[in-house]
Amino acid sequence: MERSAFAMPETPAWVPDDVVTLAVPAFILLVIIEMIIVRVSKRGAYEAKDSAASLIMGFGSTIAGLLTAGLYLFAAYGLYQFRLFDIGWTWWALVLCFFGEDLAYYWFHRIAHERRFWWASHIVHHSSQHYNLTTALRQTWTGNLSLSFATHLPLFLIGFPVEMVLMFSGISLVYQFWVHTETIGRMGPFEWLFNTPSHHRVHHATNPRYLDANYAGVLIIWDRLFGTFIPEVDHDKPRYGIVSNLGTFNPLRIATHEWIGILRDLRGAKSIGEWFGYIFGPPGWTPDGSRKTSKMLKAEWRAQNAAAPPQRGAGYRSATMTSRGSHPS
Amino acid sequence: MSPDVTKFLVIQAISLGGIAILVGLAWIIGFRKRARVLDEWHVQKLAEQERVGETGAVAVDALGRVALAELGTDKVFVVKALGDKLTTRVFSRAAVAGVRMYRPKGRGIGARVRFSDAGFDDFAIEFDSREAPAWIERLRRGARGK
Repeated sequence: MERSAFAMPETPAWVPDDVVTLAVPAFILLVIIEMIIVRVSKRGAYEAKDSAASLIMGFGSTIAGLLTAGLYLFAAYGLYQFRLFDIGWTWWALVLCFFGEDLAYYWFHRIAHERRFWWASHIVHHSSQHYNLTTALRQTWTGNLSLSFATHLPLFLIGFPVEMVLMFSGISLVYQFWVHTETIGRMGPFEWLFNTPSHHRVHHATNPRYLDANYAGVLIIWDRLFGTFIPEVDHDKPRYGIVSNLGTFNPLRIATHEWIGILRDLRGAKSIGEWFGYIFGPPGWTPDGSRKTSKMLKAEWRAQNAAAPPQRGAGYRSATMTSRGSHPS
Repeated sequence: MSPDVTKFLVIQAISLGGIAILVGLAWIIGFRKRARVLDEWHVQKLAEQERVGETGAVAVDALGRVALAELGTDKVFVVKALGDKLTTRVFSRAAVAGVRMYRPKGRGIGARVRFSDAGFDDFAIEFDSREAPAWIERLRRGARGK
């Protein structure tokens, strides 16, 4: 039988249009529950303006996502024409697609931290100094524009239906919502296979020990497999935010500050190599080493620890770390 | 208006309503503490914690919203209250995009400081004295013309 390049297997009726939109009422309810738990137990922290900024970023992200979805869909359906296999909505395809999408997410997320062009979008999600369920919703406005979906594209080439990949991508996003909390401690054997609040606290921390780790979406196995897994330790409590913290709650500044930083650096670049480095080098890269990359910060931390092992309970603070200390009036 | 557009607008309106409820709830149940820079000693302690080096002259806002400190001859250490956190940053003097002096009501003198970093809002630092500390004057002269 002749195969049509554009023919997509029929999507079963049980597949939701948009998993994330369906989950919004649950998000709101869980944020309310977490606020009450934090208020009563003092475990975790909230700040009204910070939460407002995060929620507005989330709202803007859905609008920006809709406006730029065409890019993703154009690439997805375009590549699907050249698929290697015709894969239908079978149980084994669902299992494979789940693992494939989660692996693609791991690599997207890793690249988003290790290369500044993609970090410029993803930094938004890390820009809060708080870690709670509203932080989960602090999302980029420029993800599709920076082609953050690129790691999904091989899945379409293999032949997974676009709707199937989108469904698992949505499920992954919904899964990742609940891991943004300090109210849940360790989770025993569940942590061997799955991304958990503890694993993801490490991912959001700026302590040198924890930098560039735990990129998992749903399954933590990818970090264990590719050597990026770091467990949370009790004597080095995560400090959240970014290495050079923001001094603003303004959503427009939050969304664009790193892009503007790249443009400013490019204005001073003296060669093609410097241009390339500022755009595709690791965040913090400069030709003269005047700013620090995660690797440099970690190397400093290791050297410091080798010279004088830290006391238990005493966290190291890097020279370029920003303060999480607060003195509420 | 098409049903799809109507549905989209209704979903966005509900989302905005949800945001208002959550932020209102956070405010009502007390998540509105403000961090404050206490004094020069506080700034020095923060600089020590951050290992940014020894601070020179320090200027602290009369309301504790912000502080500036000299770091050597070419850097500025900034401590800024951002909600219940204190954000600290080291900027090169070249990143000071502007310092404008003004006379605030009920206080001696103030300075509005702007850095060429899109992730850092302009801020005001005010003093009870009639004259700004010499250090702020030096910063203003350095930023003039930018």
